[in-house]
Amino acid sequence: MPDQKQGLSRRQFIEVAAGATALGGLYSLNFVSDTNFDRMRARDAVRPAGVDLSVVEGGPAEYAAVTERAIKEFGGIEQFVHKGDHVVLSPNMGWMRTPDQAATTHPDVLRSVIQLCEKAGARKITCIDYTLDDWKLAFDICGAKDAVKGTIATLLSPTESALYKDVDIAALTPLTTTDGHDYESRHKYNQIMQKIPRDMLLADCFICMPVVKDHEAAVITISMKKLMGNIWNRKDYHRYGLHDCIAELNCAVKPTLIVADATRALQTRGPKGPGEVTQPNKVVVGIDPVAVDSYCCQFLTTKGITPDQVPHLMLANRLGRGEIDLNKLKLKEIGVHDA
Amino acid sequence: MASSVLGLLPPSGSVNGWKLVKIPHVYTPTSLYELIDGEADAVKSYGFITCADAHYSPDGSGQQSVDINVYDMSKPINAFGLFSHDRQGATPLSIGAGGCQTSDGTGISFWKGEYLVRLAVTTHDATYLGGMKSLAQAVSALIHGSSEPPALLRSLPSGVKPGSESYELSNVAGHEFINNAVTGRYPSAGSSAELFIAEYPSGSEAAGAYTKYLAYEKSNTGLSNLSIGSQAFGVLDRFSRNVVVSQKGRYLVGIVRSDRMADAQGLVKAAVGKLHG
Repeated sequence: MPDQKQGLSRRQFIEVAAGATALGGLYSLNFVSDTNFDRMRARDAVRPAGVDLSVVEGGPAEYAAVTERAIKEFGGIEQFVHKGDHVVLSPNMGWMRTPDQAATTHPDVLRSVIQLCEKAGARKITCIDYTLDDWKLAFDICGAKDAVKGTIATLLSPTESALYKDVDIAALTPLTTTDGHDYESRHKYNQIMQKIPRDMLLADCFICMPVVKDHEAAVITISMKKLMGNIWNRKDYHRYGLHDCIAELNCAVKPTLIVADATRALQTRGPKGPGEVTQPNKVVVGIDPVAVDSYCCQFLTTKGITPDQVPHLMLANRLGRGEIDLNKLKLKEIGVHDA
Repeated sequence: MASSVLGLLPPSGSVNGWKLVKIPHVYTPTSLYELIDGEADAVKSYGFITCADAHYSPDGSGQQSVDINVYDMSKPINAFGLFSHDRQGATPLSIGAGGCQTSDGTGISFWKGEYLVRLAVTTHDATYLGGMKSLAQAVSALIHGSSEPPALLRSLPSGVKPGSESYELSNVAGHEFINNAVTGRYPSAGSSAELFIAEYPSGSEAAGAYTKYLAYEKSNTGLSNLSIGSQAFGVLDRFSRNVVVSQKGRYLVGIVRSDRMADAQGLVKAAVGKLHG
């Protein structure tokens, strides 16, 4: 029977599973028996000494090397991925858009991170994004399908509620702001119970891999907004306060590492495009989502977006989730060929 | 309502043989999210009613297609408002009441009457790019009615970057208390300098917005009163650099991200001078 509330049917779910077989095992679904967990298990993010963000620039043919170098300058993948880990990657791959159209994470950036995780001894790598476009076409056109070829990584669009678990975001949101004011979360006030994919909750390491984009409703979509690409109940966020909910979600879901793809930036008509595209040719790595996103605002030049124009950045900063003032950050900005 | 947007889609095979890949789907405010994800919030804020989604290909099948979305935005000013976002940085295209094409050629957007029309392809194949233009012209020909942009645009001072003018309903310059505004970029004041003119229902509401803006800037440096309009201030904001804001009658005028305070003051003064309170 179709589940009207979820807008999906059992049959659709089976088609997804069947697709996994038909496409040679590229796609996997993970059924886990764990119950009653309410927060992520991924290990805490660890900031390397002396650097808040590493930023590496290189040409279009070097995006893999740029990615590898940016992670190396941030302490190396071994600081974040341990032998035997189940690693969950969260790239943008939910749109039927080509890499040049910049609505999705570049496949060279994605493949580079996958290969680094493999070298670090990852047992299992799952790339998750909840696609709205047809998932088979989206994975193919955006290059994600090619990116995982020959690796242990699988692609997953969790379009079935059974793949999710309730998480009480309100319980994980601070009750006061850093400037001493009481804070009542939207999740609590509006009684929003959010669902997070079980794979994400169970991962040993969770790496957020957003592409830098304009967003017509959220102003920007980089690492903080990207987390919404993995949740089930998005409509409540749009109904009750998008920016507040994004900030609160980021207080509960904390990536082990953030690899922001600024090789290209979608300047207009985000998040899907097609719109204007520029090529900053950079990859930005950090663990502080407010800092990563605030830094990346400078790449959204067509609209001239600054961090203070993005309410979820401002609120997350007040909730102590990260630093919005770039003057307070230790930046390591280099070219891919620099010594 | 659904029939009106469906009626603006070219019949299958009527444009150089391009055929519908599947039956067009109509999205409503409730379901639009399934088509464009979170962007739906922005579209709905501009008075969205319905959207027809249709896919065409040369033989009516295949993975590649020209995708057409026809949005009924209820009023021409709303259609212009959303279009004004699409055209930022894009290449002007002569179609409808105003059109543009993305620099890579894979997207076309135009407005006409109360409709916003968007077309997209995921290939640079000349057949599809040409088909997209032909289909866009066919949709435009099916739309009738007046197409008047906001009158307030005429109050923008000279020097505005062509094609940068927009109509914003909310969150202007990142502030929830600034809405119903026209904006434009002014390269003479800086590469990202942007001037806004917001119109409120009354002078007291405009004054209220001014007070909120002033309070927001209290912690920044160099805050000073200026003699522009009924009241004005200038400040060096840590993010938005040189900022000047003035209130005159039911209008709030301001500029953000100016490289130089003198340029910011000059532009705001020029805009205020064109307004009749």
